[in-house]
Amino acid sequence: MTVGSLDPQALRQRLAGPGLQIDLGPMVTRVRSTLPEFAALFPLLYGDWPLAPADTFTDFTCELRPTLSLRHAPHRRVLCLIDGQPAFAPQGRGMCGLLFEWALNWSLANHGLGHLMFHAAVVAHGDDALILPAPSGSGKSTLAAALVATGRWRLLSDEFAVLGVEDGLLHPLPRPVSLKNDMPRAIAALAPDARFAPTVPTAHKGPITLMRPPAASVAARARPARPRWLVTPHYTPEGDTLLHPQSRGHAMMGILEQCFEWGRRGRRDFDLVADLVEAVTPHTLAHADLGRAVAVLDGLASSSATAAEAAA
Amino acid sequence: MVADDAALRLAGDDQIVWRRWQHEVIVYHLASGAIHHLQGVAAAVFAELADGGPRPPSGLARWLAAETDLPVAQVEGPLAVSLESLSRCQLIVPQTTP
Amino acid sequence: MSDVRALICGLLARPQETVGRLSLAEWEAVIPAARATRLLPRVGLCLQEAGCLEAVPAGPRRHLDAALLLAARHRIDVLAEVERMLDALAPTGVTPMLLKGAAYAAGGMASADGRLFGDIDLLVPRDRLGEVEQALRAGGWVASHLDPYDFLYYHRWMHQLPPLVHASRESVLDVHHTLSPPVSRLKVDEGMVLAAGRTVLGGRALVPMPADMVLHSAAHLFTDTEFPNGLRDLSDMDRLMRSFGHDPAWWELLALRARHLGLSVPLLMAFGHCRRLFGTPVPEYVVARTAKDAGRRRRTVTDVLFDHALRPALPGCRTAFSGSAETLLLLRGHLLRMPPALLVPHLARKGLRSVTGWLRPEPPGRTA
Repeated sequence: MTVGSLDPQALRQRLAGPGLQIDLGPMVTRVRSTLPEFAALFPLLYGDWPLAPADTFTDFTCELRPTLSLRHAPHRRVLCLIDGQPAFAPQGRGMCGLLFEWALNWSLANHGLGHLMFHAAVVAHGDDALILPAPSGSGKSTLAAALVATGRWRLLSDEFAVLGVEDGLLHPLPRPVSLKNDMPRAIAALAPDARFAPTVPTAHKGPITLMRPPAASVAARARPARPRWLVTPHYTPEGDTLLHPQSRGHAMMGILEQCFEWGRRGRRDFDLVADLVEAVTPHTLAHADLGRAVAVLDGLASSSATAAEAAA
Repeated sequence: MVADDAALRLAGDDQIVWRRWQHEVIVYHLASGAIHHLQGVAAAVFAELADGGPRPPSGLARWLAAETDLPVAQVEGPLAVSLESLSRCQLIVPQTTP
Repeated sequence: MSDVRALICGLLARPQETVGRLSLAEWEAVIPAARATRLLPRVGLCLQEAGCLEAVPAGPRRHLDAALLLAARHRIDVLAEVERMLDALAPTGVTPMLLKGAAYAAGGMASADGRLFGDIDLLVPRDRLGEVEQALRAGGWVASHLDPYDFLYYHRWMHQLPPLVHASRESVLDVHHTLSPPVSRLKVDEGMVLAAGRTVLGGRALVPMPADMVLHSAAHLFTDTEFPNGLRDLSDMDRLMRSFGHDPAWWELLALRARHLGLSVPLLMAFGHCRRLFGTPVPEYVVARTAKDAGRRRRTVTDVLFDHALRPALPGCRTAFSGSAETLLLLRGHLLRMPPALLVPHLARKGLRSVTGWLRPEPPGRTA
């Protein structure tokens, strides 16, 4: 049974009562909320995700609770609790979808649970992964969303590359993609059936819109992908779209800068990242125009495919 | 810079993990958690100590001069700087006689 | 569902018999509560030592494995940072005494196993404080941002310099020149503790002898004003006492040191809580002697209050009593530390700060 198949009444009751349990892959989360706003938003963003079987162990519980704020009285605010402890300052009620994503990010970043995580967007062409490691502001989410919108790539993750410690593969975590400013319009032009949550103004990052992950990406959530391409994007307005080869050393340092909890496993962590860097052809991409950047990255995949066919 | 001309070797496998790609080496110093991205002379010297075994600075200078087709006097300065930073980061240590 | 704290204590003290009894729902309550009390790696370690980590279901097991990895890394990191701190201090010729977590790690104590480390505490002679501060500043540790009120408070009344934070690595050093606050009613003769210290790390640092480690931890816990790590500190004491307590002479030494250092009261309290929570095998005659030295009944109202405050701050763990118990204990701690005249401005100031802190928006960030 998926989140979307629950009727609204049952969904509200589950959320307000025991909560909904979702197996995200790297972790199982239970979400609870009495907020009607969240009950409306959750199926819009997570509709294709199945509910976890009742006997699944919950790794983290996230609760979004209405709260009164003295400063913002009489408006009601939302308090986010992770495992019963307040995680962020209370926010406006429109922020509840974003708060849930922050809570997931916080839990993933702090508790790897058998995975090495680094800040990156990851998409896959079949089972070959393209990793876009970069800090926010580089345009990685927009690029990932645009590639996924073409239908040729599936979404592995927008925020976290999840590298399996045992297999060295990238594990999918196809959660909603957060898009800034007027990017949803650009994505909607590429994929008319893409679905978006209402845009929320934020203090630090400007307006943010969450996009529902495509059903096909969610359906393939149990299929890990092997690292194949690594492209570090830089958003350079008014510049050309340029793909440059990058040295493996620089690529590795770039990933390490984006790693969470780096080094817990000592040499194993080092080998994991070094093996990944060895498996890919690293590039940097200066991009301004979304359409051209997508064409360049599509070209990277098809030229590699042609090369592989020629070699076979 | 190591004052005398004692042979130098890489820190032990229990101290460092590294990976080499062409002209660069990434070294992870396990105890401190520091990551070093070696390029240029430092990377070349590190790789040479890995491949060719322990060597005193004078031997490394001769090797570097031969590799780069330069007089020994000209490579000694950059070499000394590289050795100094490699040993400060505890990536190379003097060879101790057993 | 059973009392979550009792389950955590059961896993620590009797892992073999407790592990099989836990339902998945109980594990779901235990994991976040153990994490909140900083005892998650210690739970993993005790299960590992008892050879029953395999008996933990896969879901909670992932958390224990991750916590064990984190604790192992913490220990390496804290020792590396202690070495850097000693390098920075070398020009002064001062041999500092490491305290608490850093001392456990440097001394290889059982209380360092499965432990997360925070600030590094060190004790240096009062007359060398200026030099030490200067050397540490040269090594990259700078006074954390303090407003003038706090600065004055630290300098005049506390037993330490303001915490020093390393500019790039963000490690925190707490430099103490005494083991008790200068104006506290609890006076500890640090000369005695220093004289009995053992050298570690190639003679570059000292750690208190094991009995003094127990006493220092007890003195801090039972006069402190905050208890987020109270249960962890008791578990540390339990492990220290267990690892030395097979020798009857050691218990007598512990009771004697407590009397000489004037710490029989906190030791008695530590005995009581450790025995009740972890079944620490403290010989009855040692408890009796300590009670006599303390001149105090075995279980007092303060003990009952502590018991309530030593619960994880999570739903299902706290009794209705806990919040107010903590407030009373906070006051008690301040009374022990400072003359009453000083109490009011400090508390008021702290209250004010917590309100502004609470209003500050806090976007999710990367953790160091």
